[in-house]
Amino acid sequence: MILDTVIYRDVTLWNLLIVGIIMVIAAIITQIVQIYLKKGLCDRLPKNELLILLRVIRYTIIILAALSVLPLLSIDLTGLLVAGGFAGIVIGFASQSVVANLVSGVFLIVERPIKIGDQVLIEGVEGYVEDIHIFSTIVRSYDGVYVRLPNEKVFTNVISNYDVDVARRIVYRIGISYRDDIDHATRILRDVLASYPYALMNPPFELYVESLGDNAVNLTVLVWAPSTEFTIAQRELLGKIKVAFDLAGIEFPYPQRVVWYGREESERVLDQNKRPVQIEERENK
Amino acid sequence: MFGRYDYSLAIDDGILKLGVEKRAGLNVYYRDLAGDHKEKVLGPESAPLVIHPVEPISVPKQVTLFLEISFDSVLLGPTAKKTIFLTFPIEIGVFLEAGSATEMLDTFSYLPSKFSLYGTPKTGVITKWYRSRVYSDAPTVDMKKEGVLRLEIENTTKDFAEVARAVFEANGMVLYFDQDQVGMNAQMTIKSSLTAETSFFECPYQEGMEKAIELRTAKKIPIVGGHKIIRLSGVEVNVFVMEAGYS
Repeated sequence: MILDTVIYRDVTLWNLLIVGIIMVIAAIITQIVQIYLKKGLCDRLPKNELLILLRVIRYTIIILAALSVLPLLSIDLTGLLVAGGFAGIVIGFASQSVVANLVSGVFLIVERPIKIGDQVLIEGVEGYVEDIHIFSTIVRSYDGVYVRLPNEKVFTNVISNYDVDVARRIVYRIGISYRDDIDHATRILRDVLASYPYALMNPPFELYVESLGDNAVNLTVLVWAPSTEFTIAQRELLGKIKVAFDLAGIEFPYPQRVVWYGREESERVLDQNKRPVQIEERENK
Repeated sequence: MFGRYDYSLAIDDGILKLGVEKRAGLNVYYRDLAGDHKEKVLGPESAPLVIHPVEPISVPKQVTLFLEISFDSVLLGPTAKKTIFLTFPIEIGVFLEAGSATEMLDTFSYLPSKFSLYGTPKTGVITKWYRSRVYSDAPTVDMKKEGVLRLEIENTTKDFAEVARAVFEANGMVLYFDQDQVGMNAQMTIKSSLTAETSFFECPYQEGMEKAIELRTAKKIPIVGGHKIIRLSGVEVNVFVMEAGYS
């Protein structure tokens, strides 16, 4: 038969046909994978990086297909494998972190724990996500510093994303003097929160006495704000609470201590109906 | 207050000062309301200034595209329909027109703003929140502060439904006004014990009302998720799906 015609060594026309078919199948698989990835990643990855990724995938598939058909062409890979194995170990060690960053980058793009514009805290770096590349993520810190984080670090570290949810809760702990009326103070807080636009109606705010401290009655205020306005709300509300308390004469007490002076027993018996001497020790914060 | 003016415009009602004045040869738009001051130099030597009511989502700044109106609960029987009237906060937009182009100069409101969360922090949306009374007929309100929303509620379920809030998306929100009032015309369809759909009619609830400039068109506000588009009588209507309840 014509297919049994030997071309060179043991390679027949049939072998060449099989090689051709395998390479065509590899090309088809490459196309399908590329189309699928293009559709899935076109809105998640910059165009240039998507092109690089597609190219890497295309060449990987074609190289794997080519390696698989070499025995059909009577090309002995034993020597190549020994040299290639050694080179592979060297290259593997050298490119370990590069591959780890690449793989982490792909997982970050697929899982999407962060997106461009989000406010995040990753490994102590806090700021806005400026870009997500295949190998690294760029965060612009609040003080304007450009920080490049390798994707492996981003993927394996704890990520706090402040913008995933539409609302965040602000927590204040406010100490008022023991002399002040708690009901009056909470009424003022309610008024401030009710009139502030970014203190959300729902979920409703919470106000309660958290503890009777050494120096103050500690009130806790829990109030929700839109995530986009969180920082401004957190700052403005505290200022408004301070102004409202000042107007109402409610005091934020300094740390204070009641001091008892040691006296003779007889003097204490005589003075038992009198109040103890109280000295307020005021400390400058 | 609403209408078309030239640069001789000057409003001073004791609370609001608004107008255009000549300063060093330049036309300067100014607005002062409760301590909030805004100025802008106008390039054109003369152009129409248009003051219209706009979708109430821009003051103090655009945080959301949703308006939530909370009201005393209305109980609807199975498959029942009921039309009620509510009020909503008015935001006033000042636009400069030149040819076919419209540029927004300013938005402000006489009423304080309040925001809320509809749904959960994870899946919900931030809304501009307003509390309204329920009326059987269109109430008389101060049109500088409040508008009137006619709401047709239809209960398509076979159970009673208690409705106490309605959430609307700015896409599809259409305001109409005349000399006496600002109005919107909307519908709410209760689909289940938890979900309802809201949308706006592309017509006023009263004859003779003029359509206001749409802020989302003037500011090119992008369309966001959370809504679907359906065709009603051949017209495309933006529908917001209230998936986090209506009571």
